Amino acid sequence: MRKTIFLGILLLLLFSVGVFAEGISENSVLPEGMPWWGWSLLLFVFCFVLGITAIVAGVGGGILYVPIVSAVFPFQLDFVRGSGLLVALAGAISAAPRLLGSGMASLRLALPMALAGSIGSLIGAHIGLALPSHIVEISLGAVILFIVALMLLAKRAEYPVVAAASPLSFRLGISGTYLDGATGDTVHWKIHRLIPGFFLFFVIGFMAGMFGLGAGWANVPALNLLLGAPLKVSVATSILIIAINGSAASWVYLNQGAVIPVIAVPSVVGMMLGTRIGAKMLTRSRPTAIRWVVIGFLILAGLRSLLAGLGVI
Amino acid sequence: MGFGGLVLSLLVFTIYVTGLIPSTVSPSDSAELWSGSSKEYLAETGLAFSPGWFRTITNGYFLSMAALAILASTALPTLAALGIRWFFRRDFLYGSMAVMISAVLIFAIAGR
Repeated sequence: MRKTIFLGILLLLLFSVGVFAEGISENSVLPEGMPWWGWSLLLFVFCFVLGITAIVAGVGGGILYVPIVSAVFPFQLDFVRGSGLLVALAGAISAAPRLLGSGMASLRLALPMALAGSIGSLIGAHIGLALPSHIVEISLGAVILFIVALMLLAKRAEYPVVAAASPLSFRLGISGTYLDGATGDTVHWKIHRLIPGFFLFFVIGFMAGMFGLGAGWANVPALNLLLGAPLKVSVATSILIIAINGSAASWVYLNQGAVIPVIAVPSVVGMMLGTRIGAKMLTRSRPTAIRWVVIGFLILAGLRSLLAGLGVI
Repeated sequence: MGFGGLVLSLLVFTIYVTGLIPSTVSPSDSAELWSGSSKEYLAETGLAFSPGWFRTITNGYFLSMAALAILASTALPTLAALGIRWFFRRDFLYGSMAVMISAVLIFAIAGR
């Protein structure tokens, strides 16, 4: 069963590479004149598989959606970005209550970062929709390749050493305790470098709004490596931040007509169902192998976006 | 997005794509325009996304969009509740942060 699913994912990805080769606008690997519902159905299935893959590979669905859907489907980047934000938002909103209840997600840590990020995402969304498409494609390609580099090179610290809480974080009461289910230990944590973190989250929010990406790829390293929050707290708190920031940017796309129901609804529903299945499959899957496949595909998608923006393809 | 949200989205989407109620923009019209920019989409369809667009839920297109709008607005009531709780606890700093983020969201919803 596992091998079948893994092969299915590979085949889907290979199929997508075939579409690259022929040129997206030509869609020559698919029947000409495919009706709209054919694309929506294909998108639903595609996002369902993406949702499974995202969970199993340990990457956010939001980061996979925009580069891959924009490379495979004939939708203009505006609509893909609008739907991408809703996909990331749906995932975050699903997970947030459970994470808050578990004690892993910290509202006190999330809120200042979400304030910076929501302002950044609002501005980023406006600028992203105002820029010419080829500029966005070039930038998106560069960002995707940067994200891949980050995925490959960034280290993660399970329990970063924070000698002393910064005065501001102490004043704001940003610290906490949680029970680590894996080790049975009670972990006390505190953070530092709150002000640099605030500015970094503005930039992260800006990029997430501009490109319609989920921000987990940047939130987690920022919280973990810069601010010094434990890895589990960083992951959980990142989801809270996405739930807030994604809302602001999504509304910009909604109001500027960059969300179409026949694209957004199949994407959101497919991804949500896929992540639920993926979560059940997690214990029976080979995440490392799938993660490498995903990274490979992101590299392809990033290069494709870069080259398309430069007019090479 | 819980099970209820998924079901609601599917329900209104089904109403829209089956044409059970009239729509400003049919699914096939959307398909003809989805390879152009969002600006071109608005120009061709004549859609006006004024702040009150989500009130036109008798239109299939906007009904489907309304479900997505609810998804995009979920954070707002939560932030409002948190803000009130913090102010009651005299945690004015966090209460103010919740108010500021809510203001950003309202600014975005209003189409600014």
